[in-house]
Amino acid sequence: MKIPLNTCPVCGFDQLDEPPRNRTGGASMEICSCCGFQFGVTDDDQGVSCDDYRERWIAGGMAWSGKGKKAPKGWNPQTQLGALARLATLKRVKGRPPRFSMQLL
Amino acid sequence: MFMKGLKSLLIVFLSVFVGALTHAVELVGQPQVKAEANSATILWKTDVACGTRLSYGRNAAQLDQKVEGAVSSAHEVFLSGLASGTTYHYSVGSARTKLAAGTFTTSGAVNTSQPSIVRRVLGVFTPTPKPPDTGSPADIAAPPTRQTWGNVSTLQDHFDRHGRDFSSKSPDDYAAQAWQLLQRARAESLPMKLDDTDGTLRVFDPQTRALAAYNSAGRTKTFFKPESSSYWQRQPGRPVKPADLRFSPR
Repeated sequence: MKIPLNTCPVCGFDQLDEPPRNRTGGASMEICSCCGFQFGVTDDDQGVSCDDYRERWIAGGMAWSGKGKKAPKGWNPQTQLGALARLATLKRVKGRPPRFSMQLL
Repeated sequence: MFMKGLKSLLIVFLSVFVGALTHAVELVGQPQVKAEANSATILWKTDVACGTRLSYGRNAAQLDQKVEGAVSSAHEVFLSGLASGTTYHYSVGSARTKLAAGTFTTSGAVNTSQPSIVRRVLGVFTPTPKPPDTGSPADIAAPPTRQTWGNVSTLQDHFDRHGRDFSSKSPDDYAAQAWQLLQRARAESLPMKLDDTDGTLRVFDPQTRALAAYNSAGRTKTFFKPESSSYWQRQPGRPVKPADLRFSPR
C-alpha cells in the first residue's frame, strides 16, 4: 500500500496541493494547511525534522493551522494520524504476508 | 490574304489581352499617413485602378485588422478607434497584391488606465518598460495578486509567516514584493535555479537574502529570507539566465 503523493508526512493530511517533494527531492515550499509544516523551509532551513514537528504539533493540541483553507468536514486529527501511522507501518513491512496453502495443511 | 490579316489581328488581340492580365499593379510614390491620437488616414496611389485593402495591427507579424475599399487608383483609408501613443504596422495593396508596408505612431501619451486583458496577463511575466524617473523594477506596480500568486488560498499563511521579513503591510503587498523580485532577477540577472522536474524556479538576492520560488507559470509559491547561510547553495535545480525562462513572453 502506497502513501498518497499529496499527503503530509507530518500529520497525514492528504489534500496538499502538490507532493511535499518531487521525484528528485525538490521541496514544494507549500505550507500544510493542517499542521503548518512548510516543506523546504521548516525542514531544510530551520532544521526541524518531520518527527520533531509532529511531536510539537501533537503537544500543541493538533490545531488546524491554515487560515486560507478551512478544515474538511468531519476532519479528525487523531484519525488522520492513525491512518498515516498505519500506512507508514505497511510501507516498512517487506515482502508479502504468508498465504495459507492446502499442501502445508 | 484574309487569313493573314486575321492572324495578325489575333496576335495583337492576344498580346493586349495577356499583357493586361499579367500587368502587375505598381505603387506610385509612397503611402502618406496622417496619424492623430486615436485615428489615422492612409493614402496611396497605384498606376492602374485596383482594389483597396489595408491590413494593420500592433505586431508586424500579425496584421490582424483589415479595411477594404473601392476600386480606384487613388486609395484612401480612414482608421478609427486606435490607441494613443501606439505604434501600428500596416501593409497596403489590393486583394491580390501587397504593395508596401510601413509603420505609424498615433500621437498622445500611452493610455495605461485600461490595458487589454492580454497585456495585463503578459504583464505578470514582463517588466513594464522603465519610466525615466523611476530607477528600479521594485518601483513598478505589480499586477493584481491573483495573477502573481500561485494559490491565493495559501497567501495568508505565507504572509503571516514571512511577511515580516520584508515589512509587508498586507498579503497583497507581500505578493507584490515577491513579483518584483522576479522582475528584478530578470533585469539584474540575480541567481536563479530551475528545477526541471516540476518547473519550479528559485530566485535569490544575495544582498537582501530574499528568496522566492515560482511555479512553472511564473506565479509565486513562497517568498522569504532563509536563516541558513548555505540554504541557497543547497537548493535543487540548474542555474539559468533570464533568457532561459520558459514563461517569458513569446
